[in-house]
Formats: sequence, structure tokens, C-alpha cells
Amino acid sequence: MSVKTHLPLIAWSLRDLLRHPVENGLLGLSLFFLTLLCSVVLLFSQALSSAAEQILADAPALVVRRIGAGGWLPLPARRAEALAGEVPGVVRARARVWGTADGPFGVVTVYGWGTAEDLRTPAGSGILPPGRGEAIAGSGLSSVGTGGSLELKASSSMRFTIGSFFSPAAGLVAHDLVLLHPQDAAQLLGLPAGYASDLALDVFHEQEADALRPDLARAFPWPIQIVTRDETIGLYEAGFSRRSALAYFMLVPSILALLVIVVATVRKQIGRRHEIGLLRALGWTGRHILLQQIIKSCMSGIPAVAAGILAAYSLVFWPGTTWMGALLFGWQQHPPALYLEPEGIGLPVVEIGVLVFAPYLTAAVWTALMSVSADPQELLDREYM
Amino acid sequence: MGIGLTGFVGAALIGMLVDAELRTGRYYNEPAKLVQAIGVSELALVPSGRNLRHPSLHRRAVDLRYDPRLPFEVLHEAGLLLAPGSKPGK
Repeated sequence: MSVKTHLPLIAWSLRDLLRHPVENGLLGLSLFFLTLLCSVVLLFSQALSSAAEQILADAPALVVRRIGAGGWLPLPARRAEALAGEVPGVVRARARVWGTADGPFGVVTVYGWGTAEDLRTPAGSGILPPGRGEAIAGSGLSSVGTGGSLELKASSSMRFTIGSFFSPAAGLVAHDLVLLHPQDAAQLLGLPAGYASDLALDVFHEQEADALRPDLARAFPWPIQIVTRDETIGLYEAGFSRRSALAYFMLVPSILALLVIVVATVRKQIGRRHEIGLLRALGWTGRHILLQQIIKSCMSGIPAVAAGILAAYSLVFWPGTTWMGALLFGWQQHPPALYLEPEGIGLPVVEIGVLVFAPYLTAAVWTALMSVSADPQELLDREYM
Repeated sequence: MGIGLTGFVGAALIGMLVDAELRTGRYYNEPAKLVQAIGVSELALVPSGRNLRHPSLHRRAVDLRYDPRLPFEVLHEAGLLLAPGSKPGK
């Protein structure tokens, strides 16, 4: 079975499609938008889950927070580091000074960074630590400009000079992050001298991080809350899945629209059964008619579905796309420019293609089969009765 | 025309897959380095200060009124305390 032998049939199918250009155009447009909506939701969820997993792979294995009756409490940095360091399996304990502060365009996350311990990490050596009164800011604050003055308010109000900015490509982590000198950060956040917000731990065996919880709980003289990296990544994935599920609920009308398209296609085909009767009277076999229906469905459906997938891919993975932050994550101004990697999208793309195209093709083939099995005379008679 | 359109879209789909392959492993190095250096545990997808920004902090079992997301507000408790020896209402 070669394409050459079926060229007349393909040409006939195309001619048949062009006989109803508006009808087929609208059908294609409906399939395009339906594919676009479904693909955006699926690709968005897949891309963000993958980003969380890959970017946070090097995040602290465990984060320990001191808690009291009122909630979170600062912990004494050196003592906490020493206590955690005594727990077998913990290879590195780092007290973090961080919190949130009001900035010129909304709340920002402030990190105190630049201690000798911070600079000892391989990645840390590539960042010039901020001096007193200096700040390194994320691209969300880029309108302030290098050398510009940045006023932050938390426990106290302080003014900083922006020394440099993080690259927009690091926006997934640093979009509204402000890196300050550790003492500046502590002063801004109202942390007493020698105290930290929490403790980041690296462990010898990553897989055993969860097993260290009881030892850590015993090691500290205060109640603590321990969060593992896997838990954080899991929470992100669950959050993205929940959002996708909600989006799919919102897509129920679109799915109903697909159903209407399928029903309309079937009805249209049934309405034109006399044409099939005519073709059969002219000598077309059932195989020819079935093939013609499949070719017609593929000619109108495949380009529409593929174009929908392409449009969704562009929307989600276009480098520096900002619509997601503005529309889905509640950024009022300066949404982060997202640079997402399209890893592992093959399966979702196939899923969407099958999900949208299969019902449409099935409806067309089923109608053709019904017509093929009918008597040509009966099909012709229906038209003129 | 239909064949041309199908061919064009097919080529574009192949182009998309090639583009996906080329861009994989290209964008996450920089944020990952920052995570490693600073020790950040969360993504900056949601604006700072919202619960979704710090999902691991948002535990129902713990009342986190005083957590790093808030600028260390302290309840003004003077009105709730009585000086030693004093009597209520005086």
C-alpha cells in the first residue's frame, strides 16, 4: 500500500474538505484551542515539577527550625551548629539568617550571606559577598538599577546600595531575593546577635536524611521542626498537581466542547450518507470509503492538534516567559522571567495528541463503518425521500 | 495544500522535539549553583511572604505566627500582665 496508489483518494478527500471550508476550518480551530488548553496545563505542571526537582537537588538535605508555643523562634547559631554537628550522619551544619522584608515593589526575601563558612562552598566562591550596606538583588528589583538605593523594612528600616543583580536566568530562585551582609540581615530582621533563623544541614547519606529526625530531635534542647529536601520537593509537586487538577476542572467546558465537536462531526457525516451511497453506486468499495474518511479526519485533525501542541510548547517554554508568574502565581508587578527546560515532554505531548485526536477519529471511522455496511440504494433513497 | 500543511506541521513538531533536546540541561545550572551557595530551600515562583512561597513552613500542626515570613512581630503583652502585688482593676 503506497502513497502513490492512494494519491487520487487523497486528492478526492482534500477536495471534499475544501467543499466545506468554513465548517472544516471551525472544526480545526476548535481542535486547536482544545489541544492548546490541555497541553498548556499538562506541560506547565510537568515543567515546574521537573524544575523543582532539578534545582532543589542541591538544597540542604534537612532544615531544622526551633519552635516554641508561639511558633517559630530564632536559634543560637554556633550552639545549634555544634549540636547538629554531633549527630552521626550530619556532615555540615550551617546557620541561616533569612526572613522577609518590605521592599519598594512588595515583599522580598532577605538572606544574610558572606561568612567564611559560606564562602568555603565551591559554588559560594563564585559570588562576591556583599559588604556592609550593600545588597545583591534579584532581577525583580532591576528597575532600581546598579548603584541605586534600596530601602527595606522589617523589624527596622534600612537603606542599602545595590552592588549587582543576579542573572534573570536565576529568577526561579532569586527573582525577589536580596542578599545582604549577615550582620545587616540580622539587624534588619531583628535577630539578636549570634542568633539565626534556622539551620541547614547536609548529610552523609542523602537517602538516610529522614532517618536522622529522631537523633536530631534528641540532640537539641528545644522543640524543633525538621523538613527534608524530599518533603519540600514533594510539597511543590503536590502543589503543581493540585493547580493542574483545578485547571482541568476549569477545562470541563472545553472538554464538553470537544464532545459537541465529535457529535457534530458524526451528525454531519450521517447527514451526508447519501454521498457515500453515491460513491458506492459509482463503484467505490467499503475500504475506499473508510480510507477516505480516515484521510479526511487526519488532514483536518492532525494539523490542528499539532499546531495546538506547538503553540502550548511556545507559551510554556519560551525563554523568559512572564505570563505564568502574572497569571498563575499572583505577581502584581515584575513577574519572574521563567527559563524552563522541556525535559521529558514526549509522553505528555503524545498523551494530549491521543486524548484529543482519538475521539474525533473514532467518531469519523465509526460513521464510515455504519455507512459502508448499509445498502447503497437505501443511502440514496434517504436523500430523495 | 492539506498534505503541505500536514508536512509543515510535522516538520515543526520534529523541530520542537529537537529544540526540547537542545535546551535540556541549559537553564537550571545557574539557579542550582545559587541554591548550593546560599542554601536556599525554596523556589521564587510565588511572591515572598505568601504561604505558597514557603510550602515547608506552612504546617498545620505548628502555629507559625512568628516565622521568618513575618518581620518578627511581637505581641504587646504589657496589658496582659499585672505588676507583682497589684490588683486587677486598679
